[in-house]
Amino acid sequence: MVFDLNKCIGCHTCAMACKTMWTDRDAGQMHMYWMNVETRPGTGYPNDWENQGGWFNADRNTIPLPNIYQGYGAPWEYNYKEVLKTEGGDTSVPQLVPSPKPSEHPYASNWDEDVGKGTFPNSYHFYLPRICNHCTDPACLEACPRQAVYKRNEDGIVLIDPKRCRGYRYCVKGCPYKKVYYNPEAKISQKCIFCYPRIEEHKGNFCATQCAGRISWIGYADDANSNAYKLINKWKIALRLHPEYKTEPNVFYIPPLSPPTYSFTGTVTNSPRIPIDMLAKMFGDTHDQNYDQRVTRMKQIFDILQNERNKVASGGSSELIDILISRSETDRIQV
Amino acid sequence: MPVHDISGSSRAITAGYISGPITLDPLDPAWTQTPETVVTLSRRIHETGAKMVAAGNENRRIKVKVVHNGTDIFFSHQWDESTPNVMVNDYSLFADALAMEIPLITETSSIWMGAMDKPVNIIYWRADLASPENIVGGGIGTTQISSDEKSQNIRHYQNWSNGVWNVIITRPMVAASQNQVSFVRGVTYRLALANWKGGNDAERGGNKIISDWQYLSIK
Repeated sequence: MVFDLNKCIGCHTCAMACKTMWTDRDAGQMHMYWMNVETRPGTGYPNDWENQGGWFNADRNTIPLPNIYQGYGAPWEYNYKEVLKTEGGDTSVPQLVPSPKPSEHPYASNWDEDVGKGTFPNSYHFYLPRICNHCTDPACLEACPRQAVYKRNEDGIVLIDPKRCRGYRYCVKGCPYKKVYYNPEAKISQKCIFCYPRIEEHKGNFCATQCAGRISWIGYADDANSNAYKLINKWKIALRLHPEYKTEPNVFYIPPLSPPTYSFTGTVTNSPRIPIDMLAKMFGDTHDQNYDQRVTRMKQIFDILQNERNKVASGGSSELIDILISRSETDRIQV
Repeated sequence: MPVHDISGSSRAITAGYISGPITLDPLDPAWTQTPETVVTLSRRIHETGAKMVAAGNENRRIKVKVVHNGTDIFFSHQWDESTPNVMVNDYSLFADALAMEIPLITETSSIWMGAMDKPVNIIYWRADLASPENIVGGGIGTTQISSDEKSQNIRHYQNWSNGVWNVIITRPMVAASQNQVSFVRGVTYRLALANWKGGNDAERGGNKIISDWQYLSIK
């Protein structure tokens, strides 16, 4: 799967599609967003997940387990019934307010939406949609002592067998992306299932088909005709999120372009507003790439994108730009 | 099954016989007539790199009494726990637990959850569960709650007070299905205990302390 971060508008339709499809408001799943969108720079969801570590990149004995309210956030409720007067209403309550009060509970998923960094006019942010990476070397699978986690031969989807799971939560610790959740009602762990019932019917994941920005491509890694394959292997413009975690994620990201910064005197510089340094620390090809190689790749990708855009802007055609525009769902869902 | 010579063994547990009904109550008079065995738990295992019970916290003692009336068998366990852990309703919470393991179809088996050709029957109590679970294991990582409803016939009493857990587990002596051991008078069974302190470094799964095999004689 490939996400184009240049097309993500942060609307959370994917997250809501996933939520209503799979976890909804079920007790024990309220805090779970199998698909979530976070703003970068930001602490992410669960809170500060990048600093918690996983099975292959941390001391296994010291990986923390988050708490629901502090780590994943309160399941906010809003006073819709009052404000929308669906049940009588109350004119003394004129606006929507969340409960619990944010002042009393300073974290929830997407807490730092649009906060970003930098000072005007060089402030910046971008959105990062995240699902389970259905890794080639799943740390959750490695961490489970009961073989409750398995990777399907036919399509590589990583699943947790609810009948094998005993709720030990080693998988939660094991996943460095913190994309395995614990259901305290069912007392088992749960995660993104890559909409496997839909994939089996050659339909796309619900997060992808509902995406307003049409930012995702789904295809098999060995299908050279798929656009996902072309973006990753032919055009080489899609990167893994934190490949240094050593799990070989199978979700790839096209890094975000950004306008150039202004200098102190108001002239345009050659530096993009989203610092290459920040992107290189997030994205790369493989776990053994060093920082300098990742910086080089980032610049290379931006050059490829700019060159192809220039071609089209001057009246030419570009296979890459055609793929990125993806006029039809069949251009994106190729499973 | 042969009767082991366990004379003089410190690992002998005797299940005494009492005629008439026995209640699931620590004050039932049957317990005053039943000898107590102190089982030492001191073995740790290391499982897929997961944390072991911290050294220094591995020596535990469980006071065991077993009594039966020819129909039902009752196991009483008492052990020290300064702070009970009874909830698993958040990521960081793990509950206190106790398990007893008995070879299912053979006289002996691997103490590490049995083996594929020598499965074990496990009764697993955890403080947050509605009732203890009947489990079958064929080696580390293979344990499974037995799927037939008949074998999930284990009842229990649990109470924590003054720093002591008291857990009484009872079951009909005759196996409800092939997933249970039948307890037969005159027979001696191997039995091992496991203990988890949920509040101690999130003990669960293989992160636990177990005893050596004990010898349970049904009088």
